[in-house]
Amino acid sequence: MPNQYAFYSAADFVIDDAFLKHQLTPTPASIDWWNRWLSENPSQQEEWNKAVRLLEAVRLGLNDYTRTYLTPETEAMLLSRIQATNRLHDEEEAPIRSLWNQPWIRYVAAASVISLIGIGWWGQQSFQRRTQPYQAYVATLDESKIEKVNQGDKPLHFQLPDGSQVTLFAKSRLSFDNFFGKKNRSVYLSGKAFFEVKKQPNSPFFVYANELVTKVLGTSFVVQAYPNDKQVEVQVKTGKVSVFTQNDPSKAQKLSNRELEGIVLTPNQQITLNRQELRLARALVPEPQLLAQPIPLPAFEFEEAPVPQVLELIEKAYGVNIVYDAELLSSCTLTASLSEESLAQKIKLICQAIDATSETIDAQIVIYSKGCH
Amino acid sequence: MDTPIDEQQLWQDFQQGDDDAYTQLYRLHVRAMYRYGLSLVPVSEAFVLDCIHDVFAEIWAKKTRLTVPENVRYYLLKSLKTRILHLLKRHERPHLFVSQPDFDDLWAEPSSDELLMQEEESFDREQLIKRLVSQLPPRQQEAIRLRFVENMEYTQIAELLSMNRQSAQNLVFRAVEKLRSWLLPSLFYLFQDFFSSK
Repeated sequence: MPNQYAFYSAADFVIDDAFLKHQLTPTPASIDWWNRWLSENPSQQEEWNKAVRLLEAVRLGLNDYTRTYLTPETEAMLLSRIQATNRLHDEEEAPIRSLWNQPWIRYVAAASVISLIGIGWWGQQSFQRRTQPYQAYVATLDESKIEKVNQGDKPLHFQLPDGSQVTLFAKSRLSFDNFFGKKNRSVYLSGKAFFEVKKQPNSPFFVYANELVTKVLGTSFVVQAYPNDKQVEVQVKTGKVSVFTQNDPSKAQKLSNRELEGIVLTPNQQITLNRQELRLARALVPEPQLLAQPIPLPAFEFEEAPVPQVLELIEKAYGVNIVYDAELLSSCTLTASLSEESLAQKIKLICQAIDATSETIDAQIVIYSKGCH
Repeated sequence: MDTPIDEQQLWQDFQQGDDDAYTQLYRLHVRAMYRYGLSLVPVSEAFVLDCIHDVFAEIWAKKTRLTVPENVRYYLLKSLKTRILHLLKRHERPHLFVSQPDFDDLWAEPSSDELLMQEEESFDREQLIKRLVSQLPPRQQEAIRLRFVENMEYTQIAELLSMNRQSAQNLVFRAVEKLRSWLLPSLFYLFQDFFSSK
């Protein structure tokens, strides 16, 4: 037996291939070998023990590295992104391949039944690649399914079996199965629709539209998901909705849970799903509307009113989040009549009055100010 | 022991355009790529994710022209590092990466007083040894991560660090030896349960 190990120090052992392999993935053969070696070299036993402890210590010290945690969500999102890039690449390659075939097709076109079959197959392949999520959803429903189609230009209004109201916009389709309202409240949308969902806390209402799933308890909102759109949009008018993507790893849990989770949208917010990158972005709707109030709204008439108070009122009235430094702005007052103005105009006018600027970030309005003197 | 997955077979299937094989390879290695990437550019997760995306997209695009790597993990980590360095060199991202080979020499070793203080401050041996590891020069840290976590051969570590095999082995040895000497005073009381369990 070669005895290179006779004079090894603990560190020598630790960096040795055979030693490391035995420590990390011992096999019956390696256990045998080291046991025999140690019984033949009892003087090295102590150094060997030290080496074992040293290796454990080193690996313990690398724990932060070993346990660097990639969340399942990030892992899945990244995979979808990679697959989207690959699809794009494959689609770019495909036309080149068919051009390649062209001269060959020209020469044998007359007699070539085979090439016709080939083209047919290729055509089918590329059609399948382009199968829309809507078709895939509808294919999972049985014969008794109900499909509402709006081919015209005018919005089509109807009621679902559970009492929820739907306005289906031009060139849109909505499907649901015969059990709708009994076993589930799921609808499948291609195009654009406005939903006013009847509240049933124990039975969430789901809208599947392209890659996006919208889950609500009872609320009104618009979903826009035309087959060739690059994005899917959800805008909330009243109540709360939660959205997640079809490929969300915790989708099953989000579907079965009675709570709203994931990204939760509140009135006047919208979410946009970029279908290529499967990236979700939250924003304010282009023209935020006043929320329906149980009590009549106070007039937006201000006289020497502290600006934080004004902003608070606006926050409540529109259900939006405004970020500002209350302490700094408490030195500013406002005298204005803002009842007629839109939210954007109100903010603009206030900013002008106190020499501040504003910006909308992730569905929040941020006010930058140096305060007033 | 679990049955080893035949990664070479997976790789060949993926080269034939098999999506499932490709996805399996992704799942097998993405975590290692993520932690290795983050250890190179610690503050920029998005950048690391972009680079992993680029590596996987590139092997998909070039799949028919690739050879079957002997060690898939090594191949992917190597590609990732190349990609990261390439983008950093193009100054597309802020410089966050330390790569000068002589940087090791500039690395100040903790004094024995500092070591003693750290030992007193550390609640447990894990915290202490983590601190000690973080005080090794960056290249030694990278080498021991590749050696003791990613289980790489010295030749592969050498490739990843652009040096020869002997230097890579020396690097690992220096790191291990330094940790041993720093730990020496504490090995006997802090690591007692190692003694008793063995």
